[in-house]
Amino acid sequence: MKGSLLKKLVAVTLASAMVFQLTACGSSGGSSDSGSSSDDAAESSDSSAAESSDNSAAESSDSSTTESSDSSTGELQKIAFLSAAWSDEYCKRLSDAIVEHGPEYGFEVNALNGAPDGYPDVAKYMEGIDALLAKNPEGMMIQPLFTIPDYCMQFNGEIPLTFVNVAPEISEASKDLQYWYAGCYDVNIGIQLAEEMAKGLKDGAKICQINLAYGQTNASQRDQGFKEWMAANRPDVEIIETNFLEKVDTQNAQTVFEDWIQKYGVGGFDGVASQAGVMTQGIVECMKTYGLDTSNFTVVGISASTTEWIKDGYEFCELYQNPDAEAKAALEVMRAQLDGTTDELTPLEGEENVVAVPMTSITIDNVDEFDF
Amino acid sequence: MKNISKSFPGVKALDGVDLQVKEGTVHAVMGENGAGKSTLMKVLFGQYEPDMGEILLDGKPVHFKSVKEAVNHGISMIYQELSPIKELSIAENVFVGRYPKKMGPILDTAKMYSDCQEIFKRWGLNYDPHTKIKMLKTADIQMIEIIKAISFNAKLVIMDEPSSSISLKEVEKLFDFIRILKKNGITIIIITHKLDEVFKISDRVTVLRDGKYIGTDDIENFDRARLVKMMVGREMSSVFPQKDTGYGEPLLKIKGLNNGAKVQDISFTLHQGEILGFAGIVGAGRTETMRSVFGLDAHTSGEIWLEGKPIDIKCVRDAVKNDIVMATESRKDDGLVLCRSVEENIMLPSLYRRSKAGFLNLKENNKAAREASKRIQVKMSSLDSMANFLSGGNQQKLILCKWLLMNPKVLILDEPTRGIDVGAKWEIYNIIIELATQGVGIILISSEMEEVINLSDRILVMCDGRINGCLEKDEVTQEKIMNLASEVRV
Amino acid sequence: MNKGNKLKNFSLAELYSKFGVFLILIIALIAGTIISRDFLVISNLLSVAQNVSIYAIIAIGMTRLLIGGGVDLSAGSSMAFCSVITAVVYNGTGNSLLAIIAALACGSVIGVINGFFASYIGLMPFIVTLATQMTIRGLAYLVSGGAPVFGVGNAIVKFGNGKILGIPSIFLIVIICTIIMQFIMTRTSHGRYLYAIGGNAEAAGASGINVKQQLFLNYVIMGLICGLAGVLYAGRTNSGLPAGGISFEFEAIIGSVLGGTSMGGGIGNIVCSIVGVFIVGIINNLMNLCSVNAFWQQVVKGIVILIAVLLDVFTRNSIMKSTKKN
Repeated sequence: MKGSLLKKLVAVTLASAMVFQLTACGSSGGSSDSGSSSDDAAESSDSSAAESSDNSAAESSDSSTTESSDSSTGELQKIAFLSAAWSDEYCKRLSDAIVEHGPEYGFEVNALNGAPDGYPDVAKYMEGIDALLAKNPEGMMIQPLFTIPDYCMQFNGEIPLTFVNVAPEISEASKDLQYWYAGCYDVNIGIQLAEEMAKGLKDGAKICQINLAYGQTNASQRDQGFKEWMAANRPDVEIIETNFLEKVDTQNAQTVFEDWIQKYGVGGFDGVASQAGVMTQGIVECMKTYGLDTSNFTVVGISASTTEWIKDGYEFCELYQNPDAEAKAALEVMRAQLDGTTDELTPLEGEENVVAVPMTSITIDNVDEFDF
Repeated sequence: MKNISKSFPGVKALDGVDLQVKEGTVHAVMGENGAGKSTLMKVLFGQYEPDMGEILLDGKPVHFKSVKEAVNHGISMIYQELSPIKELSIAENVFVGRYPKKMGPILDTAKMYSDCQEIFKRWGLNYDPHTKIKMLKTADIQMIEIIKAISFNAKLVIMDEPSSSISLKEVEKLFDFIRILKKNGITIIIITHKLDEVFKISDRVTVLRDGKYIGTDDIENFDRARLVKMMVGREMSSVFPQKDTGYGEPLLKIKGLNNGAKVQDISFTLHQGEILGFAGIVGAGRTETMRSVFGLDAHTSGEIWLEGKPIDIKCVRDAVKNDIVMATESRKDDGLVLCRSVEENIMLPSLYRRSKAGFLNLKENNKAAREASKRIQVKMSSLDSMANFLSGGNQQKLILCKWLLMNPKVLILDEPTRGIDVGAKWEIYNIIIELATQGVGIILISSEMEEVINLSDRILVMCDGRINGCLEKDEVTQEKIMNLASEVRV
Repeated sequence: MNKGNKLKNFSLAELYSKFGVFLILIIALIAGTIISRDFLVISNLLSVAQNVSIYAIIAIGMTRLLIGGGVDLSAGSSMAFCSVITAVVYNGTGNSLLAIIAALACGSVIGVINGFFASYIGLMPFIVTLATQMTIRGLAYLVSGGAPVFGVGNAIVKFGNGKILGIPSIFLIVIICTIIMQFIMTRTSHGRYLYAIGGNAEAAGASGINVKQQLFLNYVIMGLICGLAGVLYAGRTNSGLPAGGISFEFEAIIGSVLGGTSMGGGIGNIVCSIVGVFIVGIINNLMNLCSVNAFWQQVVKGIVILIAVLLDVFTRNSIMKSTKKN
């Protein structure tokens, strides 16, 4: 009898634990959300008051699409943002920046992680979009993945849509999608990376590339831009290895670098082009063990989380993607969409609805201007 | 050991047993399966605590609460199932648990090997302590187990069926070694069935039967007949269902069956309506033989004939399709799917006959299961209750149920009443007899003498993988069975 | 100790196995309504249904495997591979039907491979399917050329992303498949054999069942189901995604175990598994609605897995407890 009583106890405990979990999540989720936005609201109440007066002046001359009159009363419009994996550092910072700067543009941003278990999966993104839509936001901002633009067709034209940071892949199904894109243009980034790296490469240098996951659009477009520029401008440089990491993290990058060392030996290649900061970190760590630095080895990277590597002389150049700049650009576009003032934006040459956000090159010469 | 009693739930294993062993002698404890020999020794070795009685060692009362205590008092036991650590060397096995150490926790392997070598020298053995145990034969492993026991400074060594897994030649070697131990003043208790060996090696014999103490005497005062009679002689209960019918035409013929291991050259014939008993001590090879007939295990050679036609049995399906079915030895292991319902278990083998293109007629199946379970009188709450909620006896009946639904021609039963109370046993006996009366040929493997003697039309006795003899119903006695079961044909 | 006849024919564990998951579903629904006002809205519930449908399809096959005593860790990869096949064949031939057949065929072949090694060769299913998981993933990348393959045609998209009378068509497909599979498991000899084999493979063999053949078939059917999942996944995302479906097999296993399936075999129920998958979907949905920090979501998920495993051990131990005595 004791045994079965124990089991009954366990069953009840488990069931109540589950309920407790859900309730706890509810309260903590709610409070953290409202906590951050109320802080921001206090900080930027001055700036929003200034902005709202500007906006209300512009509004009155337009036929506004939504209840933009809210911004003049100080109440923030609710918009939603679906972020790519927060396990990627830049994505997390971008997401935080959008939430932080939202109120400056009159927005309360509900941000969601599109890849809760770290693996970007279109179906999970769709889940996230559904969850965000369930709260009836007035605008959607999305870091898209593969065919997500197709999925956005379901609310096409109903609420303004801004893609952020990753250029959307438009297919046959989504060719009529109304959207704006604010963010980096991956092909150009690849070009920029190649340009900077070339400054540090000797004649006939051999280099390796370490890229983001095979199949991710920014990986292939950056790679494309990089290779095209190199082929056109530095045909003497030979790219001997190109690795796409399926799981992008520091350890895997280190493993790949070690493999290259095994294959070519120290001195067998002269530099590495990395597409993401987490990977650059791995490369830099390996460089330390093999006694490599900028004097004999050229490393360039994108979106590092620290300027240490440049200061310490390991990294030659870093393309810095400023999350605040990108966030603000995106928010500005969303604001314009809601106010109907998109003709005041400056799109990229040749595109109607793209606002390109350039990256900054950081080298040893200007590294002190940056503080991270 | 005086007046030792020990009960387990449902069974009194020992009932007031005495045992007196003189120092420096070889003392045999004999009895049938289930007589209580192992239990008595386990009490002595500290594995069980007796409910009643006392143990005196060198005249002083002792009370062992654990094996460790028994070991500390100089008692050691060598089990029937040897369990050496195969990947380790001999020395490591001998010293397991008490490795010599130096400077704290570091093993002193050099000392271990040299100590081991010394021990071997002392006792006149020439094993190399570095050899891995898995390279040795069972007989050698046994010797090493004994050495291990002795090197613990054991004064009393208990051996449980020491010759059960070794050849005759090796038995001789073992006995020589035992004589050496005796000379050195070590006392040895042997649990055994084997009459020949008892006469060769022991000084005194104690006989147990059904958990009771029967008697003790010097070996010189025994002859085979007396020993056997003490082991089996009991009041045979006259209340046993009787089979009135005889048997008919030959039904199943086995010729020259070999299973590539113990079972060699088995030939016998089973007739329609016959109950053919298979007797023998544990390990004689009866189960192995029948498993080969049923297709559970492969056989390397031999012929199987059913109703005059040769058949090929490579798997259970083959046997079942030929209407040969078997209720295996272990209900739990391969008899029933205990987590499924009674009905599912009953219907399992016959589903393929009852389904149209794979689809089941649930109502029909339910009806058939209900009828079958009523016929066999299986006591359960409902057909949907889980099989493992049934008592042992009812589980056994369940197994019979499921095979009966197959309308078998041959039914093989392996220990069908093991662990079942008297009432259920009676019911099962009746079912068996009824089936035989209807013409089913039944093979009954059983270690219970009464059962085999009272139910069978004929009894085949197996020993060491071969059939040692055949007894007709009118001539069978327990002594004859025991003799055939323990006599090894060289 | 177990003496005499046990007249009690029910235990908490057995009861949980059959009905417990519905109780948890009700608790989850109630909790959801309390926590978020956006939860108990038809559109939200339907979107939850749509989102869990892929996991549910995989869970149908996974539950069968678990009942039979096996497992398939390659389900997610197979699904991704089959989605790629769907897209590639459609783009190559323009024929939706051909694409579907190709995907189902590929799924079945993967099932054959898994079944061959797990059943006939007798390797541990965990290891076999772990190996195929990686192999098939690699093949998916190779066939797709490393990038997603866009466009699978209107027909397939309708299956994956369309709605019939407001209900997501993929969810309807789940319901149909669940009904069919539940029927197969309870009313055909094949289904009964799987339960018996999972419960005690030796006893099943000793009753004349061809255990190896039945298990092999089980894996092949799982492969077919993963092929179907691949088609639906392609339909939902309008593309063949070689990188898709990572850890989907675990979603299926967790949902299945929550639904009362025992990982030791012999116990389980398709319908309850689907409900279990739905419950996990509800939990995810609630966390998204509450904007729970993603890293906390991870923690909660881990705890749900722990609860699922505890439940499994609890039901299994309790049910099998008595066998030792007998």
